[in-house]
Amino acid sequence: MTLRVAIVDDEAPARMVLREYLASDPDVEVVAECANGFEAVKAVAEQRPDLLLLDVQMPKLDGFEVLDLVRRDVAVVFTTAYDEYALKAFEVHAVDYLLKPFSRDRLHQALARVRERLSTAGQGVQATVTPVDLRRTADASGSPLTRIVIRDGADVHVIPVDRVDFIEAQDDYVAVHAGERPRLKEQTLGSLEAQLDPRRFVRIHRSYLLNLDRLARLEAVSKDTRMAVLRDGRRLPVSRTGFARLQELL
Amino acid sequence: MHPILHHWPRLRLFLLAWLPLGAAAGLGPFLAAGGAGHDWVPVALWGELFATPALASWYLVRYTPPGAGIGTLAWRVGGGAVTTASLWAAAGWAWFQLWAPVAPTPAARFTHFAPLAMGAVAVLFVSVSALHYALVAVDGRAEAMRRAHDAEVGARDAELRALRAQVNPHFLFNCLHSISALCGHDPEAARRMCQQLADFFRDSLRAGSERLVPLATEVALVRQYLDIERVRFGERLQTEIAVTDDAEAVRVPPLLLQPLIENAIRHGIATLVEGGDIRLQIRADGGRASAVVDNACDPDGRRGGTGIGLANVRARLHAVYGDQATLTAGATGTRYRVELSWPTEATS
Repeated sequence: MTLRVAIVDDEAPARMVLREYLASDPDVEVVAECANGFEAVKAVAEQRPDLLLLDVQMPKLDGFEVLDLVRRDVAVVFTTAYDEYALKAFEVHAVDYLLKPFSRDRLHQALARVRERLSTAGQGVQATVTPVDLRRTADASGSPLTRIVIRDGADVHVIPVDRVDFIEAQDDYVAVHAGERPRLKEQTLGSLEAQLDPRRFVRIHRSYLLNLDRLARLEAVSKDTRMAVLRDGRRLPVSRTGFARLQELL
Repeated sequence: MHPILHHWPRLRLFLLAWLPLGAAAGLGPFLAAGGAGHDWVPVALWGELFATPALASWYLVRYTPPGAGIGTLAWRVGGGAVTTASLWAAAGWAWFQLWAPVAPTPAARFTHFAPLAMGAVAVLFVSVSALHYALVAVDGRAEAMRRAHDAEVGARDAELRALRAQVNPHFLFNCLHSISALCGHDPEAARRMCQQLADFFRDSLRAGSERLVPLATEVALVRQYLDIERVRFGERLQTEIAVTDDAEAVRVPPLLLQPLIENAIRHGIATLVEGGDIRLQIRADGGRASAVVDNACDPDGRRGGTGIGLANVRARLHAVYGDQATLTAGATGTRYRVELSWPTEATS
């Protein structure tokens, strides 16, 4: 089976060496060469590669953000000069992690692993991904998310968390409200909550995660029912446990 | 910390000296006033007892620094001497009454020798106070020397850290990867990059071993560094360096500019899809020199790095020029700007 590969690296020499190494394998087809994360997400949507060879440090979207957006569709092998991301890479189920500079043999070893993974899991690189993994991702990186990336077809939206008003659960999706119209992301509210700074984002209700900066006041509707009134006048329900969490933080 | 009580060798010396002095302060006036020689024991003990208020004069000394003025000093130490001597005399009177059955003369002759003995211990009190002042001055100088030494060690530490930052391992790994890539397509370019990298590291190490280097050397290092990074970033990295002629000879701590350029690449150019430019402007006039690094950055990008690089540059500037050096840094829209300014005459 021919392996369809997309190369993602913002440095031209790094893309060049990957092309050169891959050329010696007749069962590999390079379907895209991307210089940044946006191009990578677009290439995955349009070219449907089997494998992304993905740099970590890139403009706009880094390798982990790209993986977060495309993980269900493609196997990923990271290539980077930084060894400190290795643990995180395996926790988000990257197939392999190549430290620059790497040899031709090391790359082919990674390709063998990818083939093995694809054949045993059938179509299922996605089978290994669960919301629990996402929560672990936040832990592994140590610091909370500074921005949320959302894929919309081949487009990618990057929303700095400062701009988020609140996030609403909608079945398997979350709707991120940040000024303009809400954007949907395929993730559970619980796993997103775990990735955000708990002192800034409070689960005020089973279905709502609120940016504390946006809270204007709390309104008692009845004895046990309260509403959070946002600075722009919007109102969100607050559950009893949500109220307890707010009290703890305010 | 009491300068005598907390130093065993000093305390030993003090007690050795006090033994005859304390006894003499009591016995001298006592014998002179016609006291019986065989009644000496309570009088000698009485004199020795004054060691306690004499050592306690330290607390007076501590709350009356030498800078307090001669009037305050005389008033407090003199007052302390008179007060403690009086209390000591009163205690002596009661003490000799107790001894009267075995040694009657101290109690009998008390009014004759007590005034002179009080004068003697008052003098001792003032002397011990003066000794405390002297010891505080000695300790202060030792402390100042220790601090100066710490500062020097700190500066050397900063230098080592700067060198380490210079030889940033990721920079090296990325360069090696670029060289590995060039080997296949353009061996000549690979060889050239090896050469550039070797020259850059060699010159950095040489500059790093100096205390101060001319700005011309700093700028040459920056150019070498940028040439290497240009292999990786290609057209994405645009640079513009402007140095006025009179600034080239100005001396600075080595490797001051390179970390700023490295930040400009890592947190600026490398975060931009299309790349951008870095401008370095250096000039000197009116006894001061300034360096400005101004680069394109992504206004929506994640907030820069850890700030260690910048803190390091600030610490090194400060170590040489003190408060006369300034460093300001900040982003406005799509530009990030760092400005250093320092006096062209080094102050230390």
